[in-house]
Amino acid sequence: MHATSFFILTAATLLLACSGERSKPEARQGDDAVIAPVGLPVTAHASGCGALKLLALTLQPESASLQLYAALKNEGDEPACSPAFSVSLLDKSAQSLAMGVGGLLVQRFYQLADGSGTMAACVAPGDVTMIALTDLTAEVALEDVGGVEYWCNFWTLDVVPIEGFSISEVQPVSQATGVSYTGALANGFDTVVTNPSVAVFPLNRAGRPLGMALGRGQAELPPGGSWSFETSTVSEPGVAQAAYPAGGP
Amino acid sequence: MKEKRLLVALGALSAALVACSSNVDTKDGPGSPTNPATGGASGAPTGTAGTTTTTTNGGGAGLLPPGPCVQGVPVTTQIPRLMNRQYGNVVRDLLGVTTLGGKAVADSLVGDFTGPMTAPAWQVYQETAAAIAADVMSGPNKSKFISCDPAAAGCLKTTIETFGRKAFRRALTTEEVASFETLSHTTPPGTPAEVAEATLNAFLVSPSFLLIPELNTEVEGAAIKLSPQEVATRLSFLLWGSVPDDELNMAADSDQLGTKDQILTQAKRMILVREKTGPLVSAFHDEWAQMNNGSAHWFKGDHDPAKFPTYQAGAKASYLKELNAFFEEVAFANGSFQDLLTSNVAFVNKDNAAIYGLDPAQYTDELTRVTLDAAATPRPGFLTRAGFLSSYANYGATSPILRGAFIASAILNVNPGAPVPGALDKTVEGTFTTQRSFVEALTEKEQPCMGCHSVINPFGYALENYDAIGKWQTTDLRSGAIDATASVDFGDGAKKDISSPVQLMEEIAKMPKAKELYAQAWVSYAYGRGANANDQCVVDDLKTKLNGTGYSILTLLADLSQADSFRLRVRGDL
Amino acid sequence: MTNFNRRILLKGLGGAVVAAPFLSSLWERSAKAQSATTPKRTIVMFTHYGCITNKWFPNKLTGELLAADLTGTSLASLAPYAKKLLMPRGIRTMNEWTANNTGAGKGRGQGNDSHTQIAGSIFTCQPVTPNSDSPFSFGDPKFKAMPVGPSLDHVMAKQLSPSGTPLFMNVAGQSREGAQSAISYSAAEQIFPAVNATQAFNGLTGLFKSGTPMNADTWAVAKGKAITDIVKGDLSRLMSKDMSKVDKDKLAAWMELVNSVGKVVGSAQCSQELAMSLGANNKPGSGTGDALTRKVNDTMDNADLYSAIAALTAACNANPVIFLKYPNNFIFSGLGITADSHNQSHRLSDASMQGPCVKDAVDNLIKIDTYYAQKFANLIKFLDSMTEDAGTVLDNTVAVWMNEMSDGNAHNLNNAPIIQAGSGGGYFKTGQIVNLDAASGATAEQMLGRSLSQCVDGTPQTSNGVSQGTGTEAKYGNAPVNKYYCNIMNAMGMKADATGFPAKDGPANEVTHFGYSDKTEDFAGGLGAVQGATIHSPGGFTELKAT
Repeated sequence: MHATSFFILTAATLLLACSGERSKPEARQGDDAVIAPVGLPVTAHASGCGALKLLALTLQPESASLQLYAALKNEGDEPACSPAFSVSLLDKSAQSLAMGVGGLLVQRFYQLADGSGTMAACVAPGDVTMIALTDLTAEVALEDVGGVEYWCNFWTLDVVPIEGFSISEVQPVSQATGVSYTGALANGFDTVVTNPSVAVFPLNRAGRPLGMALGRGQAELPPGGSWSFETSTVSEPGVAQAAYPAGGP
Repeated sequence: MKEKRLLVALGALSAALVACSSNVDTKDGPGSPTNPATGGASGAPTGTAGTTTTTTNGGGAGLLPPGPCVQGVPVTTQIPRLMNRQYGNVVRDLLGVTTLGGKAVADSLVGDFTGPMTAPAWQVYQETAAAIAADVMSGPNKSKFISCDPAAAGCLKTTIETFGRKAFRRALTTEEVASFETLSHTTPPGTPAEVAEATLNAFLVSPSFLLIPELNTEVEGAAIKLSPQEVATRLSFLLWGSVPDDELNMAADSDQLGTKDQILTQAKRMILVREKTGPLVSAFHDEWAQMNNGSAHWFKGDHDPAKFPTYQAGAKASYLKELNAFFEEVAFANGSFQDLLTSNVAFVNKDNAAIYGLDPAQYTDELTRVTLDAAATPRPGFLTRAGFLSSYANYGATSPILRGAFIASAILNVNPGAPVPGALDKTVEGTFTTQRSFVEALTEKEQPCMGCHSVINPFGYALENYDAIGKWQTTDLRSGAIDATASVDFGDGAKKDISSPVQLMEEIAKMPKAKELYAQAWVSYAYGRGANANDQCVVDDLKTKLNGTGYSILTLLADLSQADSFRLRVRGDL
Repeated sequence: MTNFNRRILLKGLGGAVVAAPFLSSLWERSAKAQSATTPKRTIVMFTHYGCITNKWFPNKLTGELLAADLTGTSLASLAPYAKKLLMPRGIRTMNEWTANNTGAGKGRGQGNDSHTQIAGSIFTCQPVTPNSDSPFSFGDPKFKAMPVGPSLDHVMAKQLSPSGTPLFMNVAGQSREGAQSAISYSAAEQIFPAVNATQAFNGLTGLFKSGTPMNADTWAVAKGKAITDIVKGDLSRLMSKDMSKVDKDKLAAWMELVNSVGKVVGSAQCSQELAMSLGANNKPGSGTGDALTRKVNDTMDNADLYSAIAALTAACNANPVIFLKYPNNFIFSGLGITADSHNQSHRLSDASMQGPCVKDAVDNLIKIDTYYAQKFANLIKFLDSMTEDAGTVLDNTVAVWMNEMSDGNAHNLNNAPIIQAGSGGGYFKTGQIVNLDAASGATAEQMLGRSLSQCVDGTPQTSNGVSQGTGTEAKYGNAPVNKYYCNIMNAMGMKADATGFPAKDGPANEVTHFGYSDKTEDFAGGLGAVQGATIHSPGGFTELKAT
């Protein structure tokens, strides 16, 4: 097992909110840390994430359990398809406390080049992907965590890009307990999408996700259709946000 | 005690050699064969160095393949295991224990074998070790193991180091000492006395105790030099069949065993420790005389009380003790091979006095050294002692065939092989006034019997003055006069006319083949392993010396310590 | 002619295992009469990521299972137990993931994440929810999908276990796994947490019986163990010296004897002594090395400790249903492997699941297979070392090693590598390989699979997980695992309801149905998507039963 440092900052590929006419919360002087809590040892398990480089990670207590948010970037030149991100929380003597796995969210969609029509969701080269792991396998207190190990798996497939979802006009909205987000999700697929959802991650100056707000709808979204979403509230709006379709066809 | 590892004379000793014995009167006939000929000591070690196929039975070819000796140090195993007799001696010398549950310690163990440890043997080693430890710690021998209070600080550690030096025949390493000290730190713990007993128990089952490892790696020429401690161990097992004493250990630890001369100095000292060397000498001669051969007749048969009212079956134990005392005495009186066959020293108690023509009332159970020098009733050597004469006879009569076959094969290495099929059913008609004439008629009148029996039988005829229980007789039970003259072929082709037992034994003692067999047996026994082609050189050397006059048995023992294979070893792919 | 001490009571020579006399107090206890219904147990050892099938399977589909059949395979360490083994061949487990699993009628199962759905279905034979028809799509739920019914261990434990739950242990001490790797579900979508060695062992100590006063016995046992350790240390030191092979073999044979666990009177003797003689305790090894191969003593590693606890649990009749789960995403650093076990199963060392083969991939996988086999062999050894009735605890146990999949790169579930030890009290045949899918016409060679068709000298040096080229052809080895589970449940004496599904109160005496379906295609599209999804072939495999 070898540790991999990854303090890289890149904000260029983030989807930034545009200021609009809606009231905007004060831009907080957020911290610059790419890891939170600061000093938390975060290491790659075995080979880590390959071409997907970890940009930032947050581990924080929320409503009596720990939640983990991470941002990674595809620094390779192939799409990383159906990517999964796994973590293992370790105690101070490197024993496993809890684990978590989830799918990394993507913004681009592809089809297998073999003519099967099979759809693939991939992180394109240069794209940033994010994830929220909100149901780690055990209830753990933050002070018991001695470190986090992470690893990824994804497919490198022969794919061609297709139209998929696109998200626009994402705006933060002040709420009593924090901030929610609004925006529009367009269906570029050629099938109907039911129960669409969008995940929005507030970010600090270093591009680290501070939480995740989720917007779910019950609309039936026809091909070419658009859905206006509003998400749940996050307490920490950060200085920017990134939005991803959270469910697919 | 049965020892299977020793390779001594291979001659078939039993009556089944008698190709022509009769079942008509099994009591008076030449003897119902109890064990068909299987030749001598089996159990030739396989898998250990130097073993050759001729160490198995039959064929009468002797121990080693014919041919010139191969100079050099033989390949040997580095981890021979203690033989049972050695185990018994070691436990006697280290701890003073000689019996367990009423029998000799060595008899508690699974019979000797040289292969890998087996489950039954390991089981028995463990049980025996536990029993010995318990016995020692609860009795007067305790101080031989531990002479301080186990609860006192440092006592156990010192005991481990001191006893360990003796038990392992070398100093223990720090790691080993620590390993034994873990007995003081078990969960739950034992009392100090329990820990002490457990420590002794652990020593007695340790491979470094049960094996005689030779692990030194210093090279000398094409061989590996044994360390001083390893030489000391070889020396003490050679001469005593046991562990070195303190003086030998000190000589080893101060590196005084590097040269042949230094080794000889110690050997000579050790040989004179009669209480240790004596038993080894006796045990060797018992082995050489086939007493441990399961097919042999030693102490197996009894005699017709109607014909031999003075015979006591229980006397056999005395007969054996007498022979052991005889062998030891011959050796320590600086006797030679010849003396084994000609000495008139006997050890008499009330059990065998009458056989030797002495008054039993004058003797107790204790054996007393007596010179049997009455000219009219000579008693040359061990072959005229009660034990042999009585064992190698029939129930109700003598058996020239059994006695003759024994001498031919065990002593002279003339092995005629197994009897032809149907031999045991042969009968002969007629009236005979002596056992000899009966046997002659049965076995020497025609082929195929005649071929072997004309060679074997004469040795026995020459002993016909000793009746079935070993007493001197001049009249046969069949009422005829004893004729003990014979024309004997001693194996070199030339026949000699023998007219007395003394003459017979003197001639036997002259035979080179007898001395060769004796030398081979010593080499094999002394080194505790099968002889091999390299050992033939040592045997040759001893043979030459034996062919001279006055080469004492004890000098032979000392000379065994002078072979190169005594200081060096060779590792090979066994 | 050797002279055997007549006190020895042996069942035969040549390495017959004999009780160490230090445990003589156990010899002296008389065996209690066994009750009319001898307890039976099922112990399942589960490992992830398949195996190198060509080296795992013997080149034989049917007939007597001989030691020689296993020699030279990854299962060589099981060869000494051949007579007590049963290898059911041609079995398929349910819900296979392929790139074509795009909905009902397509592919061989759901389109979720391969590991999530396989782990969820393997012991439940139920589909997972939420379903995905998009095998390469994204979506968090894919990795969190869970089966819609309970797993075999719970189904069995409900009827058989005093607590109603199985003893479920994670051999690497991981207490909770996510849906991507969890195999034990107490109910639909309810992951059941594993216990670690400490918890499992401590749960047993309350059952320990003491015979003669505790102190006398346990000093004797502690002394015996300490002396044994001294002997082993001495042997090890000797073995490290230069000497001929014959000499070393002699020492090795002695060491083997010393290591043999004593034959102990069986389940009536659940005691601290039994625990000690098995090497079971509540102290997993700590320190350097990986959590499986880390040593707890000279002869056992952490994984063995769990097996010893499983054996102790069996002997103590504490729980008749025991599952031993080996970890996912594991780095076998103790075997000299630095890649994660999942990546390694794809013959890669990085996160992607296709690409140029990593060096030594196949060799490392065989190392892992061999290691697992040794662990199973050690479990068998523990079970077989305890007498029970006229045989051993193993004879009254069904011990099975099951794998997540057949070839890890192909994720194929046909031709499942399954090896069983113990006849379950005489229910199963032993010493046999049984071909349960002879109708497919596969030859033994075809059933060795194609694990060596990539990343080995002379084959493509690219690993392709999509093509399933390293798996066994899909048309071979499709006898449904549901039937095997019925066999196991029936060996354990479970009851069933009128429809043949397991039911504690009966009325039927034989289980004939288990799970949602026994055809993997029925899982495509998720629960209810395929019309007619059902148990198509009820009942156990009669070919596996002892006549």
